[in-house]
Amino acid sequence: MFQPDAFIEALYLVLNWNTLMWLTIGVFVGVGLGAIPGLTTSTGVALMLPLTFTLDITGALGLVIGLYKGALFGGSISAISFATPGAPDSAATVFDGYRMTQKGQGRKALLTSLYSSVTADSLSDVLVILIAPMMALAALQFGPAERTWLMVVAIALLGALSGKHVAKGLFAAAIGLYIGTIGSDPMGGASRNTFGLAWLRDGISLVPLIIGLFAMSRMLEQAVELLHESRLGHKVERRMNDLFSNKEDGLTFREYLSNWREMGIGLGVGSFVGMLPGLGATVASFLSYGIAKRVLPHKKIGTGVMGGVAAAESGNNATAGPTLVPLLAFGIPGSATAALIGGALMLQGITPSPRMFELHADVIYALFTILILANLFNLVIGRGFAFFYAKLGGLPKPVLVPTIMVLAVIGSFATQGNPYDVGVMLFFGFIGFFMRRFGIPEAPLIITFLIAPMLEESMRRAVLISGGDWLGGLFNSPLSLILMGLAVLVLVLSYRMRFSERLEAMAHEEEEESRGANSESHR
Amino acid sequence: MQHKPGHRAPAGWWRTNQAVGLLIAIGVILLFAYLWQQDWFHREQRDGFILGFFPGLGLAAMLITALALAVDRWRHTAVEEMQSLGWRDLLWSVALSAAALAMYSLMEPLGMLLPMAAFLGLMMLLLGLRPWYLALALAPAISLIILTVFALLGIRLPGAFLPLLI
Amino acid sequence: MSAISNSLTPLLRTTLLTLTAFALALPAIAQADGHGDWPERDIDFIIPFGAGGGSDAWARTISTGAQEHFGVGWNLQNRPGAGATLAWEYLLDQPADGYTVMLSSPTPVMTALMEDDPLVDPLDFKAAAYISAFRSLIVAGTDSPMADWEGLKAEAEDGPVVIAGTNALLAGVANIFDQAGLDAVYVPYSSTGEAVSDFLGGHVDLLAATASTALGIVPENGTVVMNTSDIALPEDVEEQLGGNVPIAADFGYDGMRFPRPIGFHPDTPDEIVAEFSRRLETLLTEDESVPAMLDRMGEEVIFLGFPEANEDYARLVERMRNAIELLE
Repeated sequence: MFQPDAFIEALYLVLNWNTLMWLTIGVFVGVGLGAIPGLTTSTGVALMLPLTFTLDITGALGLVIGLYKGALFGGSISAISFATPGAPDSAATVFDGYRMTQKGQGRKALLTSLYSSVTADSLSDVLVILIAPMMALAALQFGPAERTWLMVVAIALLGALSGKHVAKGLFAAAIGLYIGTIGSDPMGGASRNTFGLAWLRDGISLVPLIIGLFAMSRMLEQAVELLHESRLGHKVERRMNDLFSNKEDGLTFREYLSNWREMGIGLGVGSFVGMLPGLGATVASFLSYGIAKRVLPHKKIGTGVMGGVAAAESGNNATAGPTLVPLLAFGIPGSATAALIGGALMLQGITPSPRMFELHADVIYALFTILILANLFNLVIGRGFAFFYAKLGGLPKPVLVPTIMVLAVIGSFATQGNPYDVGVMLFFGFIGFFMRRFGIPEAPLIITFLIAPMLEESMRRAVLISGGDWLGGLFNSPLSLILMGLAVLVLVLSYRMRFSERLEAMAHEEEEESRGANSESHR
Repeated sequence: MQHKPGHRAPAGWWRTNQAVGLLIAIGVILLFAYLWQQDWFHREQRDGFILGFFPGLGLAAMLITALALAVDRWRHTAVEEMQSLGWRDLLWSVALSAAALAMYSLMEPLGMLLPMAAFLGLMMLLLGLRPWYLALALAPAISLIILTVFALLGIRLPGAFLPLLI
Repeated sequence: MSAISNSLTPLLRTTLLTLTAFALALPAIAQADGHGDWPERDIDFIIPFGAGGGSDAWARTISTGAQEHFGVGWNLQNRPGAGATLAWEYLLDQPADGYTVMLSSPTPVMTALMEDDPLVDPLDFKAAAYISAFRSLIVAGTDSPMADWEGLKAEAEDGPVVIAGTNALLAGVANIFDQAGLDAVYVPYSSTGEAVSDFLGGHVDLLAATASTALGIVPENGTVVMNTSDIALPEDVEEQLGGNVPIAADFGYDGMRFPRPIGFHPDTPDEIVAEFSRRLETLLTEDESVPAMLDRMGEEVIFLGFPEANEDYARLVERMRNAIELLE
């Protein structure tokens, strides 16, 4: 199966100045682009597409893959430094990453993000290289019914993200469920829930929703806080000088290793989610974050700790390699980026299909080599960018808040060039501001917004295929039954954990009341 | 971000979870009534679901959870951030969003640079950046940097750089 | 101003005057030529989808030849939204002067047909050309009894077969099944990837696919049962798909294709539309670089110019309307 000749040929193809140069450019542009809100991988690759026409196969692959991996990491830089996820897949990084920045640990957060991204990404690439065909066969077992149950499991797992006050978490999930139905019916195609506004027919786009809920809402909150203080006026010269000093903590190797469980969760979840077409890196990072939070309660994820950043970032980066599995094994583009990589291969006259392993083994090995190399480049280039942005994150708030608002506005527009997206972003900025004040968490909203429409689509498809037979449609294979069992198990377990937590909390509360404490100090 | 519910609130009832929950529930019921009256809501799709079924499901979930807020064991508490929330804060957040929208709508007729620099400068002053000349210097500089980055990447923006120029 | 003109020598003045007169007369001369002075400034080129999709790639590729063949540039604008009809509405809001052109596809037409209260009338479009076309291929598992048309018919007569695909491709298959009097369950997918994956996993019987999707499946995991369009596959593609791919007409059915129309506001003067179509044809068929690029992208130029494309457009809308009704 392994062809040494082809592998050596691949090394010749990859290890030359031309390929390495395009790889560098790809990662550089990718990280830079990823860190700007609204500009995602597919925007970047689309912009570079005309350029790939003129490159040879390895140059084109280097550029596209470098851009892809760079952007996946780049999104976390602005999520950590400015609470503004550069792309939806780094939204889950905001929770702990931005808290760390507020605590003065921005540099540590960025390094955690970089190292866990690169670790999970490299390991998932190795996984792809070793067992791509097996992964692909496993992915095929997931038909509409199995996908339906998988989504149920995902939603059950995310109970972990609903926080202490369950009703508020569930309310957030319900909002996500409702706004996810805005757009058009997945089976009939007729528009629904659009309030007579034609532009809502394509639904609420994820990017403006995330920028509004995560970035704009926080900026509004901070602006309001600043307004309370602003009569005093901020003398900022001293802070500006701090910007060029170098005294924040780095990350020790020990600290990096201490996150091995979070990275393991991210790797597993990301690889699995990545190889199934249609789910995507955003689902992977939220799931990984939620699972880590649930299974590692002692880490206090959510309060601004490295573990939260590591889980979210390893989760989204671990999808990068596996998203190519369906492409390589069957020529199915599993994501927009995979489609563009497939396009780059087609341009060189190579049709992605099972035959590719026989006909163009050198190109396959070159692709694998570039996948691994891109991680190393990401490490070096990403580090440079990360420190630059970490410095910017230290800018005084009266400068930073308006600047991020401007970036949120033009970023929402630039994603698709759709003017209504700006309005959507501002609307959810205000909603997010209220939600934050009222203590409603954002994560359940995003998760149900992403997953509920897929759940609906898979479920209705399963029933349609079985000719309207619900039981036969949804319980048609052992795998469906196993997944359903898993969903029930997760629900029972989390209910029991919640119950024991509640007992603990009640005991705690009584103790407190007896002391007559009336403060929030021990939070 | 999740806040631990505070204790019995000394502040007015309308800041408690119960009040907000009821308010939201009323809003959801009104929204449902509006949707129910729409023609599309009752139209049947080819697999037997009416178009309004899933949106209705979402609203039902919102209604139940909002009512849960009004009756669960934290119903009398008001979150710390709610206690300090004044009408003025809400008005400010609306005003700032409106300012951002105004900036965006002026970008097409006036070019990108002027509205962006004006928004940045005024916001910086409003948020208390002193000395004032720092705001005036930083606003155009930051706008130029942002515009340069986007222009270099070749991304289409809402307006031209300056009016009458590309 | 007068000081400057006084200082000019009479000769220079005469020359300038002549030149001015000539410049003023030029439009009239050109008008007499039949196609006006169009184009004298850059053309806004509207793509009804976001950056990164198939239409976007087409637009970006052909726009590389714009300067050479039109003498002006194309300003590419992605205007996605409302099932690709938001861009169309924008087109109708612009003056019908030939400086705003839209690259359409089956998607906006289907949206306009499926809505009760669509943003645009699907016929409000003057097609300058069709630049390419999709063919919907029916793909079945290699070992399946449905691997040839007779077998498929026999199965479908026993009970409805389940076929997966995106809406436009399903419409192409529905058109044939309707003519053959067969029953099928059409399962719509928003992404090709999921449809293919469900087909390969055996969760559905058949797949409606484009030729480039089929290339990744055939011959290892499937066989093309029929090309449901009215245009044969290019020879090299047909060979890669196992050769001798049957086409709808072989069985006596009327095949249907889904073109990529490019066009203007319906009130745009015919001369301008015809001139655009002529130059576009040169760009797409006689130029060397653009067709080569498209070929390498796995895309194929199937050109139909003005007025033929515009005459066909109304029939196309009608065919699509019927096909959509079959899907319901």
